[in-house]
Amino acid sequence: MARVRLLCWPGARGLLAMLVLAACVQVAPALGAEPAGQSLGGVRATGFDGGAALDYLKGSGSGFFLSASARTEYRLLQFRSAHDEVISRHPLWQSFRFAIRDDHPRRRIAFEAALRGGGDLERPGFRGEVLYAFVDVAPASRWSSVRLGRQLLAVGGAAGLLRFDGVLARFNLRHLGVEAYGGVPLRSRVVVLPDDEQNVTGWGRDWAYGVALRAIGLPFTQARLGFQERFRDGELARRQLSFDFHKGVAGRLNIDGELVVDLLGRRLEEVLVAVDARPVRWLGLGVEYAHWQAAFDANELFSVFTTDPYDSVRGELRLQPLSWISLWAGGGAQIYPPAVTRDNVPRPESGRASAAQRFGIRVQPLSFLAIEFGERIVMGTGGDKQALHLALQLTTPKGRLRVRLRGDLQRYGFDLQPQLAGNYGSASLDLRIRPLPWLRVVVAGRAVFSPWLENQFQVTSSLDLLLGVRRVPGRGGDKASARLEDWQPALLLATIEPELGADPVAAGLVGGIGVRGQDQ
Amino acid sequence: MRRRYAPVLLLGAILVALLAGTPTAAQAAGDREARSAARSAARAVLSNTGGHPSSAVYPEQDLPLRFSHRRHLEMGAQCTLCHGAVTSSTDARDRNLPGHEQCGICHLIDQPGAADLYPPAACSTCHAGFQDGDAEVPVPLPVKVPPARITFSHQLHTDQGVPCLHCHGGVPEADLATRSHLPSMSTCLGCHDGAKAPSECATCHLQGRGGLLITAASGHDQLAPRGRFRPDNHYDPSWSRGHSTAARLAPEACSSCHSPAVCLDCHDGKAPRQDLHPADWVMTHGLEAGRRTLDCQACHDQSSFCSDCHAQAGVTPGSFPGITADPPGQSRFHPAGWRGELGEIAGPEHHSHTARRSLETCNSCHEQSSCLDCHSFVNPHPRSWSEAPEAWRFGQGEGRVCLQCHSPDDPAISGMVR
Repeated sequence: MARVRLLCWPGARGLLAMLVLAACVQVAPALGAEPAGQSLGGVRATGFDGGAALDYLKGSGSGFFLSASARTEYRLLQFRSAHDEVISRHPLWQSFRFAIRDDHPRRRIAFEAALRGGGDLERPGFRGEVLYAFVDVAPASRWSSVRLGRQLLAVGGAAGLLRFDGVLARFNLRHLGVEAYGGVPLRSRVVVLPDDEQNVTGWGRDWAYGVALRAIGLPFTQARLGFQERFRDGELARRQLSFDFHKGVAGRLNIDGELVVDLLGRRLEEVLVAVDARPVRWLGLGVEYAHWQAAFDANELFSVFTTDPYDSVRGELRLQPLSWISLWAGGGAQIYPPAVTRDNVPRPESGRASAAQRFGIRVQPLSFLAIEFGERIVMGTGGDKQALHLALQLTTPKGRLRVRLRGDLQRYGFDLQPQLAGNYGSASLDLRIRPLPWLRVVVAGRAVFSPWLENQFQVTSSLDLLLGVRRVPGRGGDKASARLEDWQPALLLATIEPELGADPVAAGLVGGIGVRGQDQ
Repeated sequence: MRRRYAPVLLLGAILVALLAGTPTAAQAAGDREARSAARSAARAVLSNTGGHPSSAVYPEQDLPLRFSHRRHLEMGAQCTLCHGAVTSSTDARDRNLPGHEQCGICHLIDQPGAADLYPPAACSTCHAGFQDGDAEVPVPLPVKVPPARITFSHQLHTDQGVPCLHCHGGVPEADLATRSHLPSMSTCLGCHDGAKAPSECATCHLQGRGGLLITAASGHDQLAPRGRFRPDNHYDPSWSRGHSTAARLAPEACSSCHSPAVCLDCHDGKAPRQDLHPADWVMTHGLEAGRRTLDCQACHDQSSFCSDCHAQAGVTPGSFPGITADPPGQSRFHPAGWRGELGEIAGPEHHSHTARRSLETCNSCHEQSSCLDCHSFVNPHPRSWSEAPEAWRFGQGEGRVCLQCHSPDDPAISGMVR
């Protein structure tokens, strides 16, 4: 009975999950297989980055590549609600990523996919989804490429990351690239769905297509002019024109521009002009002007309301006087139009301007030690906020272990919610372990102190396994071989030590599924 | 007496011994001068120092040599006469420079009376600073040409018919070839445009054991995406905001290192990275979300991510009966006066200001039905709206949204909606 009670306590399950993950870490180093990153048999064995990057490389420019990874992610969030109730959440995700590529200077064919399933340990239900799954084909001479399936595409604007089921084709002419795409966008972004439609993908009702012209092959010059139409529930909801531009001058000056126009709503959604200069190696300067206005689907009621645009000006300074010290400082202001009521009564007390300023310094006196201090102030209309943070990071050689401690202190006053004003603080510990190139464990704990919703606590843990291929025993000689038939899928990246077997994968899956099992 | 001066004598003896065993100041100065002269001579023959290729890719060289590519080419020599190994070289670490063996084809090195031969074959002919028979400088100064930090196959390029001068332009006019005669990235990108040849970063740049590009070089040098691939270093604080432009303009550059999963780590809003915001961000994000200092919707799915948490925490509007568990008027989120009363002039805390300033923030928690709960019977339009030019423009443009509240035969929109 006591055991049952213990398991019912949410923190016990989180603790148990961490222990299981930690056990995996203890088991894994004994299993060897270090030299990832080596090119063997034409297949490059990749591994997780030892630093902060979350990704691993898919492979170099030419050859046959096959890689896969699995991630188990568990979080414990415990906080006190506005009604003084302790709320716990235990989301658990399991995801798999897979990529196979046959890549050559003149042609490429690839398949990449990522799947994710998960739910909350405290709630019934399981939801799985295909994050992306596409075939990528670039036929002879690479003058064109076609991507078919569920995919991501950056099309323009802040919310312009389009995830859709469809086809993307690119044609590379002389200095001109043509990009055309079309398909069913996933209903996930910046749309309000009725409860009964939360999980609807929009198949048969939503469509999106677009074309873009890109400047290619011009040294230090990039440009993209895009046009997009999106249909929702069979009706035209968005018609968007976007333009992006980048020009580098002498390797020292960079000019960027961005423009997004909502043609249906007749609104200038985004304008950005930025100039960034690096006159000397240790100095960077940047200024930017931005204009922003919210845009909504034309068939949404929200689009009928007039929303205020804002204009902002920002500046930034980056200094790196020595290789082990870097500083940055920046600031800017946002200007809004005068506030008026619907009766056209001016409300000057609402304020028209807000400003933000920040400063940071990072010192890395030793290769394994980094200290960062940052400060940020937001002021003006709406309220004020002053924030400080201090972080300490220790990294062992080769990035196998990274420990990061961070403390935050914020003073917060929000005009619209005066009851939230006060001092807030937090402390976090982030532990990242990469004992082997194909295995990574991240455990992070956060405690938040606030005058309002008290005693928040979070634990985040994830386990990544890089799966892979192995050379068929007896196939291939001493010479490198890129023949597909010499390789077979393996649960681990065992190209270097084929005798590894699959034990660590089993241990990793226990880390995720085991926790789930205790709940049943 | 003898004991008192013993330490002094011992120290003196040591100093004398040290001075006797080391070069004198004059000797040291002479040596320095000789070396300095040798380097000056080497520099003097550099005829092309205009370029400044990245030392993160091509480390600094030390070339105390006398050599003229121009003269050799004028006399009919071909590149492969001296650099014959190039056509079979598959690694940038290969040292494809000629040695005595290649030079000896024409220059009769180590022969008696070499100084009087033609072509000249004395050591000092090529080795700057070397004086034949000078015992002070018994050996030539070493030539230091560290390997380039790239992946490169000369064989692959020569097999494709790429002429040497395509990458090593300026050599026929130069005496000594230096780092400035090595191809810059813009030269490479002339062919490696993704069409004629692959343009992924890892095609040329080295990868580390983790599979990612090796960006750190010696000293201050660091390989950072600049110029064509954005000025921002990934580690710059501004990169989290500025990378979207790069993703649109050069998606192939991103995909050199990153799979689409990296985008979704942040941008799908369900399991976002937790190291982008302060740990207590969940408590203090309201101000910046409302002010749009940051672009929340770039990563977060507002309709699920925001409203899910707000609903659980009870941070929901309480002014609208039937929508929240909060007793009417006792919301802990929106302040008093947020809703306003019918007929009252809206105060500064009225929700209309926030709605106009950041309507998408309202959209985080509210569906459009929330608006209609009240505004279906409270006219949301300003006075004289039906006569305002913008109303007509709106109705003629996207008037279908008017029909969400108005019936098509409503006199209020008669003729206004197309």
